[in-house]
Amino acid sequence: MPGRSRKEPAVGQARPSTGGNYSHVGTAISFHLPAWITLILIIALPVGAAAYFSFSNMNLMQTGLQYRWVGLDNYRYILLDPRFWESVRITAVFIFGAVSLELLGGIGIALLLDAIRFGRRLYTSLIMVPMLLAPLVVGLTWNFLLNPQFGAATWAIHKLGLPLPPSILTDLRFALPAVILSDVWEWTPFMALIVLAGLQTIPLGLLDAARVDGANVWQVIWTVKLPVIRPILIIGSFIRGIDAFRIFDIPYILTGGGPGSATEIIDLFTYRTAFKSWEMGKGTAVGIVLFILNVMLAFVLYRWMPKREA
Amino acid sequence: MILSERSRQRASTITVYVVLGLLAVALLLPYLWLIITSFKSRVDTFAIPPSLTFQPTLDNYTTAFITKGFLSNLKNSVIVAAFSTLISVVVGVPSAYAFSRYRLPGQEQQFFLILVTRMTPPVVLVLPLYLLMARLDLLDTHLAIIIAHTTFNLPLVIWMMKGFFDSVPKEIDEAGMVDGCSPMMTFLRLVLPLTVGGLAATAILSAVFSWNEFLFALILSGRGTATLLVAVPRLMTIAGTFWGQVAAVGTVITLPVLAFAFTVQRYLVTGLTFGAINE
Repeated sequence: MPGRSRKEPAVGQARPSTGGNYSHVGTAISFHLPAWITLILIIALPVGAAAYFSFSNMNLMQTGLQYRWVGLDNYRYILLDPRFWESVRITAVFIFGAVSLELLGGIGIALLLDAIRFGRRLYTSLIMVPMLLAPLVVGLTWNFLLNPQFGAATWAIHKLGLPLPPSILTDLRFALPAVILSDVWEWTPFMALIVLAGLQTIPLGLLDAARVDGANVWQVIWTVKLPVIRPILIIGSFIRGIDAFRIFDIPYILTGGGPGSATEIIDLFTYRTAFKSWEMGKGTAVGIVLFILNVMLAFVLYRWMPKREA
Repeated sequence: MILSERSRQRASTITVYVVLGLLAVALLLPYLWLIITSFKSRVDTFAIPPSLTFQPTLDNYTTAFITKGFLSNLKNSVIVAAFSTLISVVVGVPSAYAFSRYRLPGQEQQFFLILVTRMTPPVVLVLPLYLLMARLDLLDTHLAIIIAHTTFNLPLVIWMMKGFFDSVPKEIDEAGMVDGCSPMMTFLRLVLPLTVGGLAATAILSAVFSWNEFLFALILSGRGTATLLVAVPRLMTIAGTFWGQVAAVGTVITLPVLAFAFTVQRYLVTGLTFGAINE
């Protein structure tokens, strides 16, 4: 493909070395100090307070800010609560469903974009739109489109004769797929951009060599392109997975966690426990469990990331 | 044979463009539908089949923003996004510079902790922040939301700006030192001006993240400080939803983001992947 611009490798590239000097410890600390103080005040302190309250029976509805020490009761209660495990299961289904569809869609779009010569830049700009929208607005948009009475998508589904119930968002089987669909709609372009960035780093020589060996388009994709960008596919999925883990807005506005608790992902469960039942002790206990899980995920991601000169 | 080979190639190129075109329609149509709806009258909004020929009106905008006071929510959104970005930049940029230029014991671990904070689900932080703000009597203040948004914007600024500082040659700093500049002067006068593009991109992204954030704002705001997103559910009443006005507010929430984001789109992927992938 002549005239095609190639970029520097994106993942695993060596960054310019900026080695430091131990004699400047004082200067370094003075540069860091404002950030450290801020992070301690607004993150470490609140998380510490949450850990503390998770061992208390704080309930703003019943006893206000008064509380008693209850040891591990909240953790025991939550780990024995079937609703907690149900929301863990729903979250897992959501993350797995959304991320795998986004990955497949992203690979598809990126391969198509990699194959064209004109309009690639314009196209990537255009498809960035969904991922820039506030997730709440994404939820609102799909709520409107899937409205059982006058939603445009409902109308289209009916016209096409698809075997779907008229009220998708209140249907036990289809509510969660609708939440997944909204997330897929918002984030597939993100995956496509990441995969495309990876595809552009494959040396042309490698592709030519495969073609000279008689590989057809599909064989080139399957045996050269995808294996080479495997690290990018893994990092991209991982980042999306972590982000999907934080989802709150879309199910909040699209289904409100319902019908029943069919779309009550873990963040919504925590929110309901803390701010609907006002059981702060139990709410913070779930929060701490999530936080520990999050630290472990961050650790895995950090190990996978290209080495920085930190 | 060469000719047929070429025409086959042309056919496949056309197929690729057609498929891409259809995908673009699928990705843009739902959002375009929201914008179109914002210009429809009540009757047209609920028309079945969906109406494409209608008399456009600005009623939804005037009702929502003037009659129903969404203008003050717009102001709240601007205040929160601006100040949380300002704090994050002022506090985070020097730290990013130090991460790039100096080496402290345990630096690797500190950098990891900053990644952790960026990834923490908001619901984990919002509980203790709510209790803290209640105790300090700061609920329903701009400050409470600004602080909450700084929890994710400050780590973002540090991660992104470190990347930009890394791309400035270290010789610049050395030249400054030789000329007798203090470390602070070297940073402010010599290095920072070389990263202005990156700084603008970082600031815009962090303002966008704040602008688009819902949960913190929902919990910590009150009547007087609700941001645009928090105020939207007000239009969804038991008696029914004012979809035209929802669409109008949704349009106002999203259009400025699109306008700003396109100016920094080449940094977008970097910002959204914690710098793991440079596009």
